Amino acid sequence: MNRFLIYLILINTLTNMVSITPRILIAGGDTGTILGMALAITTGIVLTYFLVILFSRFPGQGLPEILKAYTPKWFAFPVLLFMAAAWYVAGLFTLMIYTFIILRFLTPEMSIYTIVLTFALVVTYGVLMATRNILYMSEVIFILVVPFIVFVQMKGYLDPSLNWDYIRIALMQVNQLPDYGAFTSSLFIVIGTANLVIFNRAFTTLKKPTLKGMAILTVAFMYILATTYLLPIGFGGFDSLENALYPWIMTSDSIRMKFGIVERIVFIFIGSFLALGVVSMIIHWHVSIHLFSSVFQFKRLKWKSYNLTLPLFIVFFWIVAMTLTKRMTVEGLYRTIEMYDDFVLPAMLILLVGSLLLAKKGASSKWRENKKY
Amino acid sequence: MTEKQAPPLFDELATIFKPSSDIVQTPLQLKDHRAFLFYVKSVVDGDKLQQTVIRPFFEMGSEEDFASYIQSLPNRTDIPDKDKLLIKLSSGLVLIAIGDSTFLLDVRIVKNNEIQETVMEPTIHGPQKGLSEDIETTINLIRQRYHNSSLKVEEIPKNDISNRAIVLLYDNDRIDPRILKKIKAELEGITNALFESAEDLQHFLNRSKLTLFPTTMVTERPDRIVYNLVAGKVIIAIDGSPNVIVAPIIFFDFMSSMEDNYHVSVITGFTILLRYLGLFTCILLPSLYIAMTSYNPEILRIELALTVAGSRIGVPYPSFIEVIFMLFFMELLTEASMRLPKAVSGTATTVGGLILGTAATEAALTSTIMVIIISAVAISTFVIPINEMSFAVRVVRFLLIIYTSLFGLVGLLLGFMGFIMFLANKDSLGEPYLRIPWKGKNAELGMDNK
Repeated sequence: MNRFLIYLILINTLTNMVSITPRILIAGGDTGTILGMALAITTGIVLTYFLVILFSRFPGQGLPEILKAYTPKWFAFPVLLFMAAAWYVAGLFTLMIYTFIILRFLTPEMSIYTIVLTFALVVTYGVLMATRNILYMSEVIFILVVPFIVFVQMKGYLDPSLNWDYIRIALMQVNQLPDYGAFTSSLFIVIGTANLVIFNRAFTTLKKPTLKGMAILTVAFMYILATTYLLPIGFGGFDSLENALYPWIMTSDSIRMKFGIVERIVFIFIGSFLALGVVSMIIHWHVSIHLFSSVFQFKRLKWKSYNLTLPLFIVFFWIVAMTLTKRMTVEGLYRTIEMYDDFVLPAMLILLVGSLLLAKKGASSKWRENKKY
Repeated sequence: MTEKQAPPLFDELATIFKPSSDIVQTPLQLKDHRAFLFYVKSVVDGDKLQQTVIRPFFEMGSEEDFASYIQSLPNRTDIPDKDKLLIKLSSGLVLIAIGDSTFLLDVRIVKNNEIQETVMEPTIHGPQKGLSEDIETTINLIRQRYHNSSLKVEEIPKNDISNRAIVLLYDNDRIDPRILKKIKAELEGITNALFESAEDLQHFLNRSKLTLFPTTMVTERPDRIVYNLVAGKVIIAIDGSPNVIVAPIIFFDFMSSMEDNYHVSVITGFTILLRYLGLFTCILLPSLYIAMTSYNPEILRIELALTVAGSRIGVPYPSFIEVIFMLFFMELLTEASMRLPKAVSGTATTVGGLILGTAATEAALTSTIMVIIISAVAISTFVIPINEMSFAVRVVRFLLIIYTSLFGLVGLLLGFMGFIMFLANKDSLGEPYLRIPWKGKNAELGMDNK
């Protein structure tokens, strides 16, 4: 399996550790989170396998090209538009979460506009980069950041104040029927492969999934999901975490580096996840903007020889992001993400697999037609 | 006895070269056979001319013998058209007319062909001599280190004003033909310019007007050249410059010194680690100071935060002004000691050291910790082995300082990511600039084979 595909998937997985996902998981703690997560991992692995196989049939093509070539127009455009919106919202969630985290933990006096502006300059540049270069960039950042994340987690697992009994209690809930909310939000974590809808353009020879690659992914998913859910419980207690806004940040703030220059590990934690979050946001919005521009392409909007469609979308993206972030509350965001995970995500996945199957059918029938002549 | 005249071509050439005083147009005569020489005295090796042309003329029996002797000399070249002929004559070739036939002999003398010491990239181990300002010597030096028939030396015709030779060297078996084609197109695309040196040519190879990071490397080390030839890169040499251009190049090439190949593996690993830590230090440290003092002192452990705050007592302005002020003087000092004559530069550094060191702290214009940071930054900038990269990093540092002053710690982090993105989005002749070059390139998924 391609290493860049693995980065694409794992960045999506890791980014969600710090966000709302642990809170959703913990909220469903006594109603079957464990089985929900297990189910999500299985579904995620199976979906990853099939998506990679489906996309490898169309090397070097993104979803817009595939749909436009092999499916009717009335089907392709609404699907692309829906997906563009879904990806935009996914990126927007990341932006909002990190804005709130920064506002709460790093610079409480800064205005929300300033914080969003900090992101705006860098993320805009990132979104407008070439697809291939985003993959190179994500590899560099992944390699720079992951050692810190592993360090924080090891530090957490080895901490004497980690209470394994809480974790055992949480694991005891394995006999509950799977919780739908926990299932979908875990599914969101493990479904980074879906980014191939645009990033497949960069993979001209996407190989079939190998056993080794799938094994790495399975282990990584299991480890990350377990850590996301169990480590905060081990620190915070099974019952008392329900009202915590950011369980993982509380957890990492319970860990102390006695001899470090930076004593509170939470800052290392926030810093490394912020870096991954920005990459994830760039990936999501890159997908979104290219899906949008595959639907609306303003040919006349030109300055010198540059087509201004993408910059126009970016400006639009940021205006929406600014207004929504200003209005949103943490609680509102939590509810919205829950809704997104419960309804939009499954719909999107079904649409994605469905349309790819349709395109595959269309491609093979086209191939047969061509063969007749 | 019939008086033979010099061929009309010679008179025509003489009028073109007038009023240069170093033109020689001379007949050789022995009894009834004659020959005519035409050359530019200052670029021709007189002794060699005497040995190989003039003396044999007087020892030969007839004009035919002399003509066939000249014909068989190894340094004879074909006569090109008139424009080229003028260029050749002015670079030191001799035109000989015997009877009805004319010959062109290469008897040039090159005074700048001594081999230079390595100045820009010195190493302790490994070769100590660099290249030469004469292109023939340079090619000789490279060929003598790379005995392989697949090493191609290809001259690029270029119509700039000085008509200097530009030569491409590459290993035909290892180079990617697309890159070679691209470089040739790129070189041919350069119009109407005067190339002073390899560095100059390099600027024309960068297409955009605003560039911060070099996309080709200028080197003076023959071992680096051979190393890059094996890696399938193109070397562009230009006559009169002791450096050559290597292309395409990626970011990590700028972070490698040839010394890395000459040490034991652990030592090499240690120096490479040191170099990257130095890179991160010199980019991040000043901005980190701003973020830690002005925005988030609580990140540091409490004792350290108090020490920093304590050393800033009495400093009358915010930390970003302090950093920019000190960095500005540090840059001035670096620049001054580089440009000044050696006799004066000692004074400059002493005076500068006094200002930046104790005096600024005692006057409470800056904190003591700031002085330490500035010197650490200055030292770690020099750890970057290739000079051009450390210049670029100096600029990046200032941009990052601005971003951090505006947005705090998050600004520092995002600004640094922006720097990585900028590098990742760059390419050197189609080769991605910042891509981690893992071993086993076949696993590179054919992403670049578009």
